[in-house]
Amino acid sequence: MLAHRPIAFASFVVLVVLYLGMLFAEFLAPYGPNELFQGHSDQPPNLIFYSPELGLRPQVQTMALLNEITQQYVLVTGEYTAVNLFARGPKVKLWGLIPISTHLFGTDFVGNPEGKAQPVFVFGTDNLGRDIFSRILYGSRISLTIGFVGVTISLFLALLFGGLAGYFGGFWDWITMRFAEFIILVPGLYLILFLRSILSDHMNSGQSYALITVILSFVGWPGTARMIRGMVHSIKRNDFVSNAELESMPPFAILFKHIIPQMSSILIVSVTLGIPGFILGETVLSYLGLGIVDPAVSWGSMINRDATTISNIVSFPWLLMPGLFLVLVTVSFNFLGELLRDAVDPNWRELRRG
Amino acid sequence: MNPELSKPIQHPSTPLLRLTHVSKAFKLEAGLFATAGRYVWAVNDVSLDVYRGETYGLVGESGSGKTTLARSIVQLVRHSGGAINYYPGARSRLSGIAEPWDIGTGSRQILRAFRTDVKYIFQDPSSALDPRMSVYEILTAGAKYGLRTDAASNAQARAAEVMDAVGLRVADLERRPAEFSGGQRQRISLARALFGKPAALICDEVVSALDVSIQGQILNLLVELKRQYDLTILFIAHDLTVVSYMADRIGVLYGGSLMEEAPSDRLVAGPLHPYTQLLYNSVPRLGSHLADRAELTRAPGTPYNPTVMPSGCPFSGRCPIAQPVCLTERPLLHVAASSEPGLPTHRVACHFVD
Amino acid sequence: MADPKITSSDEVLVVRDLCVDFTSLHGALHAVRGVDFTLSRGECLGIVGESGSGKSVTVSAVLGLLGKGATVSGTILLDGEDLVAASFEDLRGLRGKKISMIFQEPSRSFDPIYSIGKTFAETFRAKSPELPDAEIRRRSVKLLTEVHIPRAEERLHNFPHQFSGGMLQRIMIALALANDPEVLIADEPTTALDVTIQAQIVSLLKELQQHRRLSLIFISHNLGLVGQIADRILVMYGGLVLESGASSRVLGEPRSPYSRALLSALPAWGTHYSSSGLYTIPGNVPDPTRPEPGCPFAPRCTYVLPACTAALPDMTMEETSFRCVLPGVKV
Repeated sequence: MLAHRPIAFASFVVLVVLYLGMLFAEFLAPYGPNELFQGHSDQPPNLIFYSPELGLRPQVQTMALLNEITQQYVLVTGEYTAVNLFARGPKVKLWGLIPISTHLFGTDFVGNPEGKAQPVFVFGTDNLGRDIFSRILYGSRISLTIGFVGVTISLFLALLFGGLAGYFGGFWDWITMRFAEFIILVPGLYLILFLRSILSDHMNSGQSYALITVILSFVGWPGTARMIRGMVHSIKRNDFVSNAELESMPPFAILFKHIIPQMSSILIVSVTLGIPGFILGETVLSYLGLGIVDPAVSWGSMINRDATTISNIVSFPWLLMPGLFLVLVTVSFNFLGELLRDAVDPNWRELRRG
Repeated sequence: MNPELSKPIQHPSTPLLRLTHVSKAFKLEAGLFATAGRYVWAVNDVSLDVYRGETYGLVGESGSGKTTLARSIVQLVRHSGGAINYYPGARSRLSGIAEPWDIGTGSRQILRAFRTDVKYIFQDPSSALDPRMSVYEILTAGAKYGLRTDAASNAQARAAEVMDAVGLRVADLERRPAEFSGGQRQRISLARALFGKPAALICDEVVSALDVSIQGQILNLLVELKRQYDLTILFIAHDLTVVSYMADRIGVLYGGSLMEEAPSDRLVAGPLHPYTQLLYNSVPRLGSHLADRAELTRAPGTPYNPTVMPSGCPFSGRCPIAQPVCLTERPLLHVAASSEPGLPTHRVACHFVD
Repeated sequence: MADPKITSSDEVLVVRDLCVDFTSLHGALHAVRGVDFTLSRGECLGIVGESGSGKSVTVSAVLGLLGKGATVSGTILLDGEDLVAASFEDLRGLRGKKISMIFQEPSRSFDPIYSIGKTFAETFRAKSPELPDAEIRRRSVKLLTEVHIPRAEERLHNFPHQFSGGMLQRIMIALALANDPEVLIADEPTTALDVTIQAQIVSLLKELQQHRRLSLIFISHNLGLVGQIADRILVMYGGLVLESGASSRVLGEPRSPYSRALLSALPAWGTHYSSSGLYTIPGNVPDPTRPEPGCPFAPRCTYVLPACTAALPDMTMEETSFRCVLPGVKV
């Protein structure tokens, strides 16, 4: 089926690559996320593939700082550093457990910082001289997973409340929906700010990650719950639900075995659209300085600290790379969601067979 | 031609199912601001017996209450008044509980056992089966929660057996409802009902949604299944021709009350109640033109309004022989003078029919 | 082929070789595959068929209601005027004025927020914009009385939800007759109604047909019901006419095995399962996206011969016209 839909297939590949990248960040990133390269602040991307000296291979041309005020760099002719695959790099622990020192690629810079070899910056550096590419890889750990965790919690709450309200109706329906509406009434952003502010801001990155996820899930579930409740109400009218009652199936079993699977295509679309929503939510929070803070890194926090002024963006456009990745992820999830929804829909499958 | 089936059924002393003064009222308005005290009397004081091994036909038009009555029997809706009693007899699945089992007030255990014994077949083939389950899953789902029967232990063999009985192939077990036509889906519904070896079937308009050329197939199948599995059938329909073909005894429902009840051949030969006569005259019959019977079919006047507290005969607004007493005094079902002793009684509810 | 313009003035509707194809995901859907019939003035023609027979598509094609996805070919002459070639404006002018239609679900045919009176006004104004209100009211009351709605004057102010299904269908008929059409098409008008109401509606249609010299086309899947009102019957299956002829002939001595099967498919009045089984037609209705080369009923016919699947049999014209290779197939 993927073969018939090239865009969805491409999206799937993109997401697989990104999530694998996230998984093996320590190995794939040439440097650590907070490794400072003195004298290389705000350096443009320097990976090129051809030079007369070294021929056709990945390499780095040396850059020299021209103007300290404007942080302008120029290329130094004739000086190239080869980029090697499986090069030695800084010692890191894969997933915090396995110590490795070999990275996917790198230059001889690592062993010899004083020498001629230059570090490779695929997406340039930020104002502290940190490699953007490595930071994006490490940052994806937070940005890409917060989507899943957040959506899971949010969906669970929505299914629970929406399902109960829809199936039992009456008083439970009334009270659940008033509660959901109350949350919807409060403007989301202010609710997030409020929740964030009443809690201590001296938290480590792990705690702030958890807190952001919980806050975003809490604000996000009522909308989905209302939709689920409406759908449960209408699916409940089908005779096969009455039949399940007659087969002495307990209400919760009916809800989760008969009713909710009918909504699976809607739910899949909701989830795949929700994930980028959470990622963007984290981005917004971090952009406002209320999310991930240094030294932890996420795409949102990168945009927050780097892409803040027009002059910054104009002078150092590579600082927008995290934004590009966000767009890529959002669009990929959308296409993948469409594909999944059609794959699960029994009517669509029957149509294709004909 | 089955000579055994053509003999009139001598009724034993206890029926299989006994309804005594069953009523169901629905609140007219729902919600917080509903006007209290306004009801719709969907079923009003219905008493009838269904005997083991017979097919009882319930005929009525829309609004007659036949579906509400059928659903009350299996407690998909709880009746407001009266008693529904079940006499399981030698086939009792629950030892130690004396018959009759009161379905309305009995324990959950009784209700479960009853729902395993008496199965309900729905009208709409497109909503009676869970579209996301395979046929095998649909057939076997009930075995898990209902009262443990011997069918559950060898589900595969039983599934193959019932599929064969309803005229479908064993290979169809892997397929999904969307791949079948309406008639085939009704067969699957029947297979599902037969899976747990029930004593009786309640067929609610099971052929009304099917094409003409398929209806005959399903009716024949029902006759065959009844013979093969020794079933008792409550056959509900709005078409008097189909009901008089399928049923041994017929009850005519109008406005929530039984107007007449008689053995099928006697009802067809000579209906006593004015409403039955109207139904009888309205049936399109080959060889006689409706235009000739125009006056007989024109029963004008007010149709039955179920929101008014029932007093008097529900048919009084349209009855050609209505008198003032019909508006104030509700006629009770009495045995007709023409009813023959030793045979099932011919009952009629009218002040002016003996 | 005869010049289609030369039609007898007694034939109000002539359809020749009508074919309707729809484009769909699965390819072309051949809903109607060459249908011929004639409707004479003042006559009632009954069209009988199951789902997929093409009966509704045929009449929708006559009225030009099919939309862009449909390809209509053949000849449709309404009083000599070619409807296939007619422009959208011409067709719109004809609808309601010369030829009118009523549908299956009366409760869904009305706009629930307009009173009946307003709906009538809209119908009248569509064809005669200058009619004064008083005249519209007078005519509306007259029509409602004609269809036996009591207290018509009062009920003009009521809304659709205040009427029962049977009454709504009568009002629908009244609306269809508002601009005095010559032809009325009733597409399954009683399928959604109770059997006692059904009888009333059919009587009413018969009465109106006689009083107004209306030409009526009555469509249903119920052969017995159609027999109550039709003078001639057309039996359709799989997009084709399999038999046509006088009502009494088609019902009394059907020549096509399908007509015969349709008549025996449902229990005859007064029969019981203990003494007679039902003759049933095995199999399912044909797939309109994959029409078989021969007779559409061949896969399900008891009398099928190799000639039946080789090519589509032509119509044999005897007491009834029927499409079957078997000559004197008797019951």
